[in-house]
Amino acid sequence: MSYISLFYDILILATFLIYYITPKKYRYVILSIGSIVFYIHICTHPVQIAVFASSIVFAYLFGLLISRCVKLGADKEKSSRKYALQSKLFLAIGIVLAGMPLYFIRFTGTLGMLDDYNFIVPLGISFYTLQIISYLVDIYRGVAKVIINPVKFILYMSFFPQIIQGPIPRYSQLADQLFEGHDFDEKEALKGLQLILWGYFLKLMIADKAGVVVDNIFGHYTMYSGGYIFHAGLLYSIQLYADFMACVCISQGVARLFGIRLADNFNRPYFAETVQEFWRRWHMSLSGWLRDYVYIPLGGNRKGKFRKYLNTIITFLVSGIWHGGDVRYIVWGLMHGIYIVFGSLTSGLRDKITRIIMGKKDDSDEFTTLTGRLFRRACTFIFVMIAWIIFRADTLQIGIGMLYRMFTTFSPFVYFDSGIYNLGLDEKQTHILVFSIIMLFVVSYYQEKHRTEDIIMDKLLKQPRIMRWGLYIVAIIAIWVFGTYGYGYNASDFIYGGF
Amino acid sequence: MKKVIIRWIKIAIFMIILIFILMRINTILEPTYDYHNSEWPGTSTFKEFYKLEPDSVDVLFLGASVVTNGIAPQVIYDEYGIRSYNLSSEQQSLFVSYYWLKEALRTQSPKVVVLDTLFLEPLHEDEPFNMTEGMLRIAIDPMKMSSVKREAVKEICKIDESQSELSYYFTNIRFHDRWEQLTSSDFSEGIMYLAPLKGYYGLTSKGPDEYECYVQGNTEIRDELPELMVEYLWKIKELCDENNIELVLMTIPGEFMYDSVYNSMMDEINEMGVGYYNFTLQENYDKLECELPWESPIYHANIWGAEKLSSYMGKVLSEDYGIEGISDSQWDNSEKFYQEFMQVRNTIRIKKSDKYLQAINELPINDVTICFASDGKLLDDLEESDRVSAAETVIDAFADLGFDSEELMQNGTEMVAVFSDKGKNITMSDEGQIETDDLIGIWDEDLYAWATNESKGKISIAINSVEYVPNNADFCMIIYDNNTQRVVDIAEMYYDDNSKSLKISHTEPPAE
Repeated sequence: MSYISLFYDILILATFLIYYITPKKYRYVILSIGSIVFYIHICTHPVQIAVFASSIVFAYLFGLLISRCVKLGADKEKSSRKYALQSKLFLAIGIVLAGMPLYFIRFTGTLGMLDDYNFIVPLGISFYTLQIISYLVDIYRGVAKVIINPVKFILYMSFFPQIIQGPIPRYSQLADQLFEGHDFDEKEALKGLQLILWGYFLKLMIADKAGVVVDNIFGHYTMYSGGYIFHAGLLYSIQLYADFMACVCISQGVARLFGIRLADNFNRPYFAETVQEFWRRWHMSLSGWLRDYVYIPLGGNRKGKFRKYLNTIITFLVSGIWHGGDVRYIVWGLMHGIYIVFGSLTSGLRDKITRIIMGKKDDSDEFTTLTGRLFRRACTFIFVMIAWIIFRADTLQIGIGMLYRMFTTFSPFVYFDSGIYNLGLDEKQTHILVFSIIMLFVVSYYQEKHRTEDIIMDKLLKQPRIMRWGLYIVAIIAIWVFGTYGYGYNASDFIYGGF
Repeated sequence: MKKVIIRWIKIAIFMIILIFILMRINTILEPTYDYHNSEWPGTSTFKEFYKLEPDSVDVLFLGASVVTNGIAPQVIYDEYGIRSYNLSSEQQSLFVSYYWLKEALRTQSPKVVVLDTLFLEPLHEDEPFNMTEGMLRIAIDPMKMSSVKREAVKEICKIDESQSELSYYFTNIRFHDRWEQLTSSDFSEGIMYLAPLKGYYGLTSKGPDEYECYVQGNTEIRDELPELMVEYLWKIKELCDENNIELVLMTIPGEFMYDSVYNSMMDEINEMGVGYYNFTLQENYDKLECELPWESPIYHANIWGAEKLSSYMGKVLSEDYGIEGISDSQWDNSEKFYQEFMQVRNTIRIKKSDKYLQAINELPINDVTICFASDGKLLDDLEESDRVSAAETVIDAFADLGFDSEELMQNGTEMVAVFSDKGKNITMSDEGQIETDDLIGIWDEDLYAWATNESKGKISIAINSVEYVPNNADFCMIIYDNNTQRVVDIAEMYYDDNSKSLKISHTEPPAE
């Protein structure tokens, strides 16, 4: 139970009403209370609250200590070295203590003992741990101010729209927005509601519907030929994106109701023409975090090519571990690291091949032919999809088995007989899914063309009320009737909520 | 301030429109079980119950489908003046019986509650409520929003954690997938509320040729009855005691009865000290005076068996429990419906052609639609003398119906006819002259009938695109009950070599 639940809707409504009737300077308190209520409600065991609280307490205390050392080191030149060492030590200890629950969970996951300790894992642990680390490091680096007010600190760490699945916030981007009270902005609120509606659409009309087929094939892959496994990989790629994007939209939408803009987490990743570009578009808050707190501290690309490639591999290894302790996540992370390294090593050769096959380079050095771009996007998508199959499979062995099957027994004719209607979704449901995916593509294409997420929302708000209302009502009815939820499903579980 | 008010007004208008539309959609998506599509029309039963005047029901019947088919409140009223209502439903376990009794007591004050014991037995052991989830929904969803419903839903979700409390208030959560199965009847409420039979619905299938009553053998062995069922049996007793209601238990003939269950049930019943009428026992079964196979009260009674069972229960209520007869227009007004219901279905027992045709002629034409089709080959293979004598038995009856019976009985004369409230439409011609798909008797857009003589020599009668004529039939008649929107009888006329006459064989219509 999380963002798709009646409790959450009531919480938003209550917090929204109380927020705007509270004096501005205390509005952050309301958000804080709402966040605490939300988190307590979603915890399934009291230990989870204790684990979360302990991380926050450590982060708060060590944030104060690091800040004090940084300040004293700057004021007292003579003892600056001492304070620099102290701040480093406090940073290290703070990262270890605040992040201990995550490290422990990953460790048990690697040993296959996660099930025994699952009950203590608070939701969003992977996300808020990275947030804590970035907060402490930014204080150490002097780019973030320490939060002294404990209520504000709790709010920053637990802001309910983004605690479970991000985006992973940065102090500089989020803090001030949270603490300053906002006046009600009707336009922003309407956009927020539109985002929430779009999030529900993505979740219930695409992600959960595709999930029915994905679960079936991944659960019984030995019964299916390569064509079906390809189909499952394709659908999983869409499911994961739609599911994650849904959560982001709902989070952003809710935040906008309070006048707060959360960072974007996706930039139409399947439009990427290389894997490297994919990671500039997919889960941007995570890839940004990895860049700033892993890749660059390791040296980035400043220590020669070999170190650059090694740092890339290590960074993606960390990404894999972040997603889960199981070896398949590590392999998935390494695959992407290898993709990027290989892509970098062969970029010249690939450009030549693409030019030969698809068309000539023009003077601006961009592949402007449509087929060229589509070809590169398709190739990138295939590579990413292959890695997603490993990511989604129950074990690494199963993932490899599925890939082997996909390549050795592939047949495209699964799309021409009625076999795909027997995978959990009948013909009508499949058509609904396809239509919904097309809708997503159309919206994404339009956003990509205008290079802005808000283009459609802005255009919509300019339409006459009757047309807007009609569209909202039709969308709500479509989700109400055709969405995948309710009896036999558990739509409230977002995929990335398990991280 | 004005801006804020206007904003809130806009929000309110939008929400009102949205909520209204979504509520209407939920009504359409929710499955309904009515006279048209079910032998146990739970939706009709419960919805119609709410329309009764307060404190006008003296006896309530509760239980599963065996009660739905076995107890006709109209018979009890017509013979004894006792006002009863049959609140049974398919697979109704005692959990549901309890909550529907509690709900009924919000508007009614019955003097007696008759509860069938079938679901005291472990019939669906894997299910938390001894009944399937779907049947539980059929029973609970029609309940109006009340403290009783809220309590029932809470209990359901407490006992069965897989259920969602929210899905009982926002039924789209449970039924939104039904959009794939919607038909035109889901968009009209017409027949859903039609329940003048007061919770009863009659079947017409023949019963077994004989019935072996239960005889107790071993008095010692016991079987554990489902704990929840016993718990709710006692709750029903408690509720009856609190409301000065006499609780009577009943076991309909044909219900599973064996020593271990019987002994366990008797332990509870004896401790409870309530009246118990067990019709699986010989001494009680004999009192029904049913002649099998046609007057069958066995398990799912047919209409003739139900009349006997209801009549006997009426006698019990009157003589043993002193329930007085009261004249009530709610039961007076439904008598005509019941009589017509029975009259239409009585044709099923008629084997002789002339008697059958006479019975058809007496049917209330506003309430039935009758389709005829003949390929003219009924008397084809007979000698002239046999043909003439066979035809003679039905000529008058056909003439009374309005046919040119002499021509009809001529070899090779094909015929299609539809009798409805719009009149009698008869078309006859020599072989091959009727075009295929000759359309006769459309009476509204959703429901149509056509009878045509296809050139390959087969006859067909289809209603709502469902074909009803048995294979190789030469002469067929279909009786369609307009009130319940169902085919009631498929009658094929054939020549019987033994009696040298035309007889009728009946085929049970396929289930809806």
